[in-house]
Amino acid sequence: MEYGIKRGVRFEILSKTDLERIHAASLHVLEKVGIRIGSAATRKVLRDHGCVVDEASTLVKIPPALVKEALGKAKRTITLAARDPTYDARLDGTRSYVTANGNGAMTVDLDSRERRPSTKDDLEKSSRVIDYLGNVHVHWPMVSSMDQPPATVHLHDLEGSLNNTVKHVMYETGVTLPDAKRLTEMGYLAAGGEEEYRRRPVTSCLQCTFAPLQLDGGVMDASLFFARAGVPLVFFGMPQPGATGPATLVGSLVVGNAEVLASLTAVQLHAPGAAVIYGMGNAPLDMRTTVRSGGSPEHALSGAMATELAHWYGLPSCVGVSATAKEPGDQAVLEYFTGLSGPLLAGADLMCGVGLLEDSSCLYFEQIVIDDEIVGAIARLIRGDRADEETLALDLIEKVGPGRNFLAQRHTLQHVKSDHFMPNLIDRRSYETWAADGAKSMVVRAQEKTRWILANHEVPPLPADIRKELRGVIETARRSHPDARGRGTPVA
Amino acid sequence: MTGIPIRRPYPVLTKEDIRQIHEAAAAGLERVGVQVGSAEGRRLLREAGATVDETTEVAKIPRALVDEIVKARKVRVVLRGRDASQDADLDFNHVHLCNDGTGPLTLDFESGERRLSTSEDLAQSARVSNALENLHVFWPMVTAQDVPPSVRDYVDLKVSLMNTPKHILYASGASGDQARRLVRMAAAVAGGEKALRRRPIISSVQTTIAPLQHDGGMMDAAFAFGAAGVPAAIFTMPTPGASGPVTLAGSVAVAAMEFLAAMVECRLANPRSPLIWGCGLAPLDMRTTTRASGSPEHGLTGAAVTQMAHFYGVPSLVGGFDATTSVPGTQAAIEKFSQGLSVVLGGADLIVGLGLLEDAKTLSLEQLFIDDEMVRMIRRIADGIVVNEETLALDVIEKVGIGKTFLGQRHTMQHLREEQFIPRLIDRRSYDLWARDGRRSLEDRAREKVKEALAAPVPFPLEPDVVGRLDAIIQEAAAPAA
Repeated sequence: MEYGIKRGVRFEILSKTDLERIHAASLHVLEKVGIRIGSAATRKVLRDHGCVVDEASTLVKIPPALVKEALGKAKRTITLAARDPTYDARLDGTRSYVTANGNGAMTVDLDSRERRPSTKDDLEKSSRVIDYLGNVHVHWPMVSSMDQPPATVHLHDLEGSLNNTVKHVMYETGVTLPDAKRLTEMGYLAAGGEEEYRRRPVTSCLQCTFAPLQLDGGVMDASLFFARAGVPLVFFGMPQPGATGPATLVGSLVVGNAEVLASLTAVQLHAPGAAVIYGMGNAPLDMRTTVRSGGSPEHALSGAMATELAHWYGLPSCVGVSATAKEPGDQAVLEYFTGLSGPLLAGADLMCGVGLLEDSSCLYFEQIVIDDEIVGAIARLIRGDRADEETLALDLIEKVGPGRNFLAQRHTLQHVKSDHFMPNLIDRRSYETWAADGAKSMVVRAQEKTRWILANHEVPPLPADIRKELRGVIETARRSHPDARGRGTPVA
Repeated sequence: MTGIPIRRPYPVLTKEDIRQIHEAAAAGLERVGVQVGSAEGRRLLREAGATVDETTEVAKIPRALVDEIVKARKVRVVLRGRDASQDADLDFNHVHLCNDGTGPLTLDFESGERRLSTSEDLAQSARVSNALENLHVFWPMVTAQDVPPSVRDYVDLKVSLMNTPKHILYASGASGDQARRLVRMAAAVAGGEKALRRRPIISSVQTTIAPLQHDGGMMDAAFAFGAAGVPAAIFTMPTPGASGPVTLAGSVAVAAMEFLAAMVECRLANPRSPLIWGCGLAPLDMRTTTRASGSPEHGLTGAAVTQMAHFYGVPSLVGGFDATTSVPGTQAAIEKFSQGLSVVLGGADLIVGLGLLEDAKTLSLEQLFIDDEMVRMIRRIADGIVVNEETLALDVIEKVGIGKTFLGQRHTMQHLREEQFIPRLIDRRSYDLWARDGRRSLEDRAREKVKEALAAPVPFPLEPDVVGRLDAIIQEAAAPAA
């Protein structure tokens, strides 16, 4: 079975010359301005390969030739394997995949409608909803298990996800070396052993860089570990045009690109051939509200440009989408549709992600189902169309002739499902039929659909012994970290 | 008023696809033909070499005749406004927006009740349209159900002319006589027939009947408009799966046959008549047997027909921002966006569809503002990105350096407005601020914009004597035929 969204037409933003100029500018930044790297191990890797490193300021200057060398080692096709291979996301440039959005701290309760801190139960339920939906292809723990001991929240998030979906799980919580080790151990367990995992990695880690031009120490220590452990990585730049990057989108792409290239260079020199995905999520600062403009046209354009740049490097892309809307409704649709369509039309390999509001901080279950419908519509748009003998159907036009209809023709039945988008949530019935059936809004229908999924969709459980071992990893972590740890929540 | 510039249209069809569709359409016109209800149309075609069967009214058009008409150079169409600054120049490089039209129903702005439309609704829709920055052409949004059917079309035109200075696109004219009366009204406002020919302030939309039929009155009206220099859009709308092949390319081929036949007839009747290819190619939803107007397929076909129209040297007019739902909200937004996106990116010359729901049946004033916000967002995507020294900002990046902020930089202030879409209805404030401020939805905020727009005066009002002349023409139509 083919999984993901097949691509046909492509919307182009940048010319080859544009791409060359952006690349040259980023190389200039890395060589002349440099980048601050908090990880001593990473600085050592780069120094050993000829970079100029100032240990006092942690500033590293990377020569262009080294970046080129590292890009040459990078993997061009990366498969994000799923527990059930039907759902493998093969990032090979022919198909696009959409992930859930992740790490929200708040949830609006499906029944009480209360807006409250997220729980592990929310995490498990949202994982099952993602498992059911056809247009969200890769999972990401959508909320943090805020009701669990702070030191183990991210481990509970992964456990709850692995237990409640057979799809690939991407997380962004491997921000220290100990975290990375435990998360990797859990991934190995879920895959059935290290060897099996290295062949088919069922988890991956997204790592954010810090704009402008900084790489966090813990994140990079973890990344070096992940790379050698066979865990696929996404390096995700996210300068905010106007705040942590120049206001011009291209200027911010130069900054983000320098950060991603620096991370990728270090990792490829440390673990040649490691699976690294090129990530970017540049949403500008809205000056009037000082909020990050997730789901803005600029966010979409930046994702589209980053995708073109990634493909020019021969790497798969992972770009972000989000929404500033506070509740499901028109604004959430406008923002998600804008944010998803730009990069998908440009051929993004991986888009993260759908289902959260308030710029990736609040989960509304019904929004996941609504976004699934949006992705379905966009999937039809990017597949495009073709004209050939079968689709032109001149023989049929001749047979039917002026003034008659095509309804009962075999050609119609053969093509209707493949050529027309079949909505799940959109209600196209007449006003009278719709009104007689309760005049339900789409948000209400999405809530009903969510309840139906939660009541009816079962996910094949992991074997009992593996589940026990996963709990064992969490228990060990809890004991070794008696103190509560504050954790930041980066966003897509 | 300039349209939205399109730098790189989104290519739904390849050159080879375009050639194949044209080959199929030309072969179809020779082999199947089109049923032409207008005796004048059949005469023109027969004299030009078509094979016409007067019993079945089917005309089969030879390839050479089609190619001769198509070969002519591209003809741009300028839709003039009463306010010349709002002319819409369909020059093949800009997208223009028009509202949806001729809806029989209105969602009452005060009560929310779904009821028959009135002339007051039409006036209000025109005044709200005046406030939209991306609405270039006005289509009378609803029909005045409060006046007798015999004068309804004329009252709709009069009310529109009185309430907006934009160009008026008009889907009426079911016969040559009716078309001539509408032309007289437009001439009364424009300052005579010559002035109207120089600056046509109205244009007409004439709809063919799929598959492959031209209603007689509809084509006679098109000839009458053409003779007066009023642009005519020939609107083809096969429904894939019902009145056209289920495959989109097949239905585009049917639409191309209907348009090409009409183009041949119109050019034979008035060689220089301004023509537009209109198309609303939305599939039949088999599960509900409704026309899936706000569907991704409708967006794709709009972009495809635009490519075909440009190949034939005429501007396109396509549906966009349609919806099947009868209320504003999440579904309306998804349907409208899924269709509107690809027609804007595809560079359609004129897109019709803003502000109505239920497949162009029901008016919602707030939906006009919501649709405008969508257009503004898509417009920013269509604008794309410019890469040069200034936008790369390498010197600024070097100056700011590592770990600092770009907020206070002059470069930031200078480029903010051109780089960023500034929302009108989208509220990006934090949850707390939004909740404290009444938790208003985007629809609530659109309602406020409607109130502001309705309170604004109508620009370029008609002189009372001009209104008197329009009334006199309408009186003639109301009088029983002698």
